[in-house]
Amino acid sequence: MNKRLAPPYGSWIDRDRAISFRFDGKAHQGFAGDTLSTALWANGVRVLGRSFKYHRPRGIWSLGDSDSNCMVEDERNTNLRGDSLPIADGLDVRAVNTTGAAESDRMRFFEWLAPFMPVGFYYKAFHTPASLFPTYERFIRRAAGLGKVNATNPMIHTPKDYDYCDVLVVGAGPAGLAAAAAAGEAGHTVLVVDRQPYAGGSLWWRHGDQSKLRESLTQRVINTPNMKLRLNTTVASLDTDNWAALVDDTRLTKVRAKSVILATGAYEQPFICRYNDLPGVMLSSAAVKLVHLYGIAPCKAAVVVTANTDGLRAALELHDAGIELRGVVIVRGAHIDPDVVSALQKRKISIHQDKVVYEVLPGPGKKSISGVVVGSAAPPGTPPSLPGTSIVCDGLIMAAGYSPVDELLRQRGGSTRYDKALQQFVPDELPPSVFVAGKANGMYDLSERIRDGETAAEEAVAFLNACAPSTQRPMRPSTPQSAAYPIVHNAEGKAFVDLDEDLQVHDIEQAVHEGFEHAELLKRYSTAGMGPSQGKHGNVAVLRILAQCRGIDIATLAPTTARPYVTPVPMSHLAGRSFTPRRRTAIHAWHEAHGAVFMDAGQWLRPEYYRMGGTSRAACIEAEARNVRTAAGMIDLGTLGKIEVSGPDAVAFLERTYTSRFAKLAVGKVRYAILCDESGVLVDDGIVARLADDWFYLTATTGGAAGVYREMQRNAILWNMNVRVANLTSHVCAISLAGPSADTVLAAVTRGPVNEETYPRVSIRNADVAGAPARVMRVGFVSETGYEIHVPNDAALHVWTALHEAGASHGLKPFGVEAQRLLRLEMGHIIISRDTDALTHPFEVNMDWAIKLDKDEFIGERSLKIIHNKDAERTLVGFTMDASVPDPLPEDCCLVIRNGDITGRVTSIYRSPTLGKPIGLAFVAPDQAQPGARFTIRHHNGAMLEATVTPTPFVHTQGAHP
Amino acid sequence: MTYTRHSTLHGALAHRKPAWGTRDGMPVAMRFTSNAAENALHTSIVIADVSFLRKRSVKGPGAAEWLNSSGVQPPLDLFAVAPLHNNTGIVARVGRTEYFVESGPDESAPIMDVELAPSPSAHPMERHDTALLAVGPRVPDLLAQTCGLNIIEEFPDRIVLTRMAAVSAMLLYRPDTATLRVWCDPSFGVYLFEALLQIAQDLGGAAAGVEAIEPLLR
Repeated sequence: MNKRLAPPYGSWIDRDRAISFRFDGKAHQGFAGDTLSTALWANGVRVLGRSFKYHRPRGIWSLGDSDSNCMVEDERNTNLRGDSLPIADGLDVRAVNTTGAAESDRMRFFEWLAPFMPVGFYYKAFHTPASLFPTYERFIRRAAGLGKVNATNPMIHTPKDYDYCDVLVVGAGPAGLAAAAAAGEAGHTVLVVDRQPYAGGSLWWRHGDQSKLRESLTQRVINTPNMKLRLNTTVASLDTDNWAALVDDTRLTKVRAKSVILATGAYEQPFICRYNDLPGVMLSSAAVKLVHLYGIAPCKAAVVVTANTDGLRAALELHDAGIELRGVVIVRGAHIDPDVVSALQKRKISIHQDKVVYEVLPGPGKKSISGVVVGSAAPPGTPPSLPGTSIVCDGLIMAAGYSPVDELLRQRGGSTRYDKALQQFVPDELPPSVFVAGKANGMYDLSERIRDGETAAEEAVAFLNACAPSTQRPMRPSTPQSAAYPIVHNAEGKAFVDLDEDLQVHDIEQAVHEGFEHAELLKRYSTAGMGPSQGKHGNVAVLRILAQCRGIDIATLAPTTARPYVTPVPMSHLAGRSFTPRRRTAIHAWHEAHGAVFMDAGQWLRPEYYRMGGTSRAACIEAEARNVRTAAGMIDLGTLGKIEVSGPDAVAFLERTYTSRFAKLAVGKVRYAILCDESGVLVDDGIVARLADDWFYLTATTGGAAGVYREMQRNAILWNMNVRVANLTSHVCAISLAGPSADTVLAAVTRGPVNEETYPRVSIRNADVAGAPARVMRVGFVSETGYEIHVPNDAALHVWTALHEAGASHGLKPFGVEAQRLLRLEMGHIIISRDTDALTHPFEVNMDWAIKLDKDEFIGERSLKIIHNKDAERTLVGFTMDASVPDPLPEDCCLVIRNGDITGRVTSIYRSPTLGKPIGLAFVAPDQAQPGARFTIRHHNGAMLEATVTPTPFVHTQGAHP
Repeated sequence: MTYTRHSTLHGALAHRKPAWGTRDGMPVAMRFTSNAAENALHTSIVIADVSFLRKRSVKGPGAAEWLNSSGVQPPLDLFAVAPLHNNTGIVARVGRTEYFVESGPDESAPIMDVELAPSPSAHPMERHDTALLAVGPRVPDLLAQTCGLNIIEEFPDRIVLTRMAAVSAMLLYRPDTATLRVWCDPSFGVYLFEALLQIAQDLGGAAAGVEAIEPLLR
């Protein structure tokens, strides 16, 4: 069908570009520039969606993206707003929250249940029995709601970005454009944002033909240097320090503005009467937009009800566009331009002065309207006196007044107050760098709005230049643009205040009578303003009803909190590119090329094991471990924390940091050391090597490195010590070489002999390894014979490759983290945070020897002294199990059970290839810790398995921690 | 020392099959097979690995004196950058008592050969940060998508310690050459390079070899 008014109507559509699309399975055609709602309306489709709760038919209402009447979904996206969704070839969408098409929704019978669903009915009806609540919940969710999220959607990466400006102007209407031009001409960088596809705002659809003014303002902006104009973009939030979230089709932009001018306009407000929600009832701004922007007649025969001159002008424009005007209803107290009234009278349009529309008469199936009933107004809160005058029409155009678009202002910390002269809220207190102009500031005269914008820019410039503005703002009008109480009570109900949630006047009254007398409480109980449009057209009416019910002045009430975002923001926009940093060692590519299967270790990627043909994971790990025991293995320890401490106070600093002593540690020697927190909990461990009298090289665990370094830096300042702490973690790479052939392999790549004399146990030596300068430590974590080779990060790949090549003939192979964990368990060494938890103190894990309670103050000293004098509640022991225990073995954290009580848990367990039986570490009760004692482990499959306390190391009696 | 140095990006670059060359003992990607980089340099953005430039830092109350004694005149202003003698690199003040030194592309700065033993008031160390260079008209777009600071406008020719694509990084924007230098912890090097390159490619850019950008390092 696609019926249109002849040009010049339809300025935003391109009649030469027809677009085919589908809605609810039916094919339609529109023009480029149409939104889904306008294209459907042009095709004669009146039911664009169904309401949230009662599944009532809904049509175009605000056409401002500020109602949820037309919400659709496709295979990928849901809750798309038809009022702003551009049509495109191939667009295929369906209405949300319907069973079948919106036109014939099978859930429409829900309206019959309305008497049983008063406000808060689910609070009252579904609390008992509690066991049935999941059933209720499923039913409610199926029956009411919005679109369904497609959980199989692929992840979409969007180019979230940042931008900056001196002045952010929100809104490119007359006030916004004037403000932007003035601020730009003053030499500031300006960013103008508008959600419409064209700049000019209401100059496109109000005030008659304003094309010259619109064009001149737009050109003034475009021609200003340092100006950016972003259209089709919404400012979705405005936070502290003027951080604004800009949202367009492709991305979210975080803008930091030095000042902000809000020229956001105003939401037109509806009259509230019976059946004011039906297709055919719409705001005057929607009607004139349909005519001027899209060349669509909102209806054939219209009645206009208005409280201001804008409504009268809309009536004139509809008439001049060829729409039959059956009457204009001017409500009592409306301040209107007599010239416009005369113009209407000249056109012989009947005017109903000081009247109201009592009710809208529904058409068949309530999918349209058949007329309205007009009569005298009754006092607020009372039903009208009937009968009134019926007027046959298929469109009711409403202009009850305005409410400023003030969400951004209130998010930013500004406030509004009720202005009785205007009968609306207006900005009150503004943050220092924020200014409001135009309709958002309660200005309605076009020339005054432009002047208001320019003055706002002057104020913003003065703020930026830290001086006083020279010009006074124009005065707000002293006559109301809004009806004081645009609500007609009707005993038969169905007078809708909030179309999102199907909330009616009596719902709000009922909630107030039930005691929800505060605006915020009323909102939460009734859900007014909690739907997709966030009460943009209903919140003020709710306050009016609340004030009327309580018999108080509406000026004493404040709007409910405005929370971000003003409009829905796709999750993909929030996620942006989903940056997920991963850390890799300098040898990562080699591991990759040699079949490594990587595992996460915090942000690090580490080889878990190296794949060998078709061999299983377990077999690969076992083979790697066996190779270390029989020949030699090497593992990449690039992830290990590496820290240098130097300075005159280095020894004192370390003694206060660790639980051990270092004053007598000889240069060239290393010592195992543990770190506790102030409560005595074991938090990290590593090696401390003395390079010179006041120069130490330390290691920390992979997971603890950053925390240890940070804490050391903090403490160096806190303790006022003359030390330097340097984090070498990623600048030095370490390679562990272990196994009986380790000496031979190392000797092949370094100068001089490698033996007990040149590299004594627990020592550190500077060496040349494969041509690279290295620190070589003789330590045994996975094997009695072991070396840690620390080299500059850029030498790591070279040294690793040289070792691998030199060791090939000696059976050297790389091993991964899993084999390392197994091997260290055979050696009886614990891993902090695996064999300890957030409460473990050193005495529980048999590290009494590493705690020097008699030395001067150190971290955790006071707590450890107290703990030391108490009986232990648990002890970490080594255990073995019978070789016949089948796989899978119990897992870490399987419980130790005695007489039905939990006495401990397994912390590590592996089947030892060396011993051929399961070995592990477990916390047990102290009286279960004697060597040879038996205890029971509850397998995760429920089986109870016997274990025997066994002294560590499991594979050798020597080679404990250095 | 006779070892072959490797950039942490060596593997990531090798996947792209560059023509290799050598700079200061390190294999470097001289150019990539297509001439995408050459075009993108002028029309969009290119990103190159310049980790072959040797780096050091020194911290402590005696750091400036340590540099002086090593023949380096450090800048006085916090986050300022100064050229090394004979333009053999740069020195930047990156903290109240911390400095960062990077050698130039042509010859290694003499300070790179100074012994790295701490003094009672200064602690020098060798640095192996992944070092990148981005250049081209879309550099501002790359920064806009990865960094929350207005570096181009607010901090030209200044060292900025900030977050880039969710990792800590040190940035330096040079307005005279419209180049952006990025240094980050080498363990994040592959991640950051690939994250930046992905964005650059979305902007029509490409990875560049050293050959294309080397003059900009001087």
